[in-house]
Amino acid sequence: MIELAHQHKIGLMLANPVMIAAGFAGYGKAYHGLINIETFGAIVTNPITLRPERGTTQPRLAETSAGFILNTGQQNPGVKKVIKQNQNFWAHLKVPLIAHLPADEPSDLHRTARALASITTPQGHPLIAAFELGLPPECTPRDVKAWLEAIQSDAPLPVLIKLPLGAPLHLIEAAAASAVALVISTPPLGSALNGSELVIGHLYGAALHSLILQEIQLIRQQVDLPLVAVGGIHTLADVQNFLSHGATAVQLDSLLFIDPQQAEMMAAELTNGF
Amino acid sequence: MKQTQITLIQKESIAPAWWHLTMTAPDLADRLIPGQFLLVRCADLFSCYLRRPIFPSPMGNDCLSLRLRPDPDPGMAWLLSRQIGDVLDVIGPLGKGFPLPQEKRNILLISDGFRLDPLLGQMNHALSENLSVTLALGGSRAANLYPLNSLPSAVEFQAATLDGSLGHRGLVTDLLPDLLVWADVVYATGSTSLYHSLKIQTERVRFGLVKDFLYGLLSPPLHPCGVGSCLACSLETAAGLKLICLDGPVFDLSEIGNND
Repeated sequence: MIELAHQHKIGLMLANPVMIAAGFAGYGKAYHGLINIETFGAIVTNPITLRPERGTTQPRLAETSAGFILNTGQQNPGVKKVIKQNQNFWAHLKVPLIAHLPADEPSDLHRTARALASITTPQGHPLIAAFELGLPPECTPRDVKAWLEAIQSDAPLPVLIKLPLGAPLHLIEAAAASAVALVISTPPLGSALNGSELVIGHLYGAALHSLILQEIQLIRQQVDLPLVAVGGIHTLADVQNFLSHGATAVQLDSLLFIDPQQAEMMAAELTNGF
Repeated sequence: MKQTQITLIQKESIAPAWWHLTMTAPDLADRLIPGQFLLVRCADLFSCYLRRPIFPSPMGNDCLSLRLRPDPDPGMAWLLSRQIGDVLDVIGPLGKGFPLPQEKRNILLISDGFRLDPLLGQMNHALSENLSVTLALGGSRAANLYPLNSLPSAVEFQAATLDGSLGHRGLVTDLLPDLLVWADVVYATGSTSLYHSLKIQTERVRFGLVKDFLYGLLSPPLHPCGVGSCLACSLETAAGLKLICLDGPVFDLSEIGNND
């Protein structure tokens, strides 16, 4: 077992350090029946916003060498509908669920977080274990503070902050001052052709691994907080590489698309050996 | 749905432009409905990072049938170069397939493309129920069409080729006015322009497009997850945003917009 939120009164205990990243398991149900998602240390949900988001227009996807570009623009049905569609499934899920909240107007973030934190089991345990706040590429330490206050004012759950890749030091410090752990990182933007159309979006794939490993080294020197590495993890060796070089836990992303069984086996392996 | 291995047990060239692959898939074959898809891991991660969707049809005896034409996509080219005994890693069955015809007599199957297996799966079912089946295929020339000699004799066949080398000279949609009057239900695979013509001509010939008459299979070349997580395949419809991988790939065409 690992504790990702030492300083927090509720804490965030994981059975193993292998989570699924936002965007790669829907709201938990997507891979149900294909693999046992309770094998993972935690599941981070797809983005959840106060109001429904339609997302970007097609094309959203372009394959690259050893990866792909994907841009869905936070498409989600809004917090009310997410809760309605998933509450029953979540109530029986025996794995910590981390709700991914994209940065938004503080008043909207506040209402979204409050709605999610208020759903509980009949015994009164919250169904959501923690929040992951996704920072946009451009923001200030003041923004971060306002977002954190908005989330936490009525929702006493731990908050992880997912940084943009290459975040400046003052932003890293601001995030570290208020989060229980930092998630490194939202992948960089890239562009690639889908037929004759250029798709601009986040880059996923093998190349991320070395970018993130380097980012972890830089941030490790700046802050003393659990770091969660996410990007381009394909093998158990990739996971161990991160764990022995500054990360406390990892999140799997595109491996879920390529080989869900392999992803599940990696989490199982680290449950036993941890 | 599961992630499992299927084995190529037969591969034959059935025409200059067509290959017929037979795979044993004991875990999948009986549960796969024509129109549903599998995501198959192809080649190496560098040339083909994402799985490729394939649309096979069940053929009894725990086997799946897949008819392929040469394809410039590196994943599909790799798939076509597999040999007997080779094992494929697949996830599926995914999505919603074609519905079975309910209280219909005349079944029209139509395609201007190459995802023929789901139509042939529907054809086999319809023949086993003693329904009347017409298959209409369109293509650039006779050599590109699915070979006729492998069709059951009970099926009425109509062809359209751009060069007139087989059947009607022109587009398969030119045949629609008569066929749409005859049909009780239409199952289509192919291009979006085929679906567009089907809708327009149905409205003209049958004085309106009702539910449960036109079904089309939408098939983007890539489905990263196939399970509704990545949202790459989102589709605007009259009933709001849908996902092709979960809500489709087979749609009632009366429920989606003309530009889809």
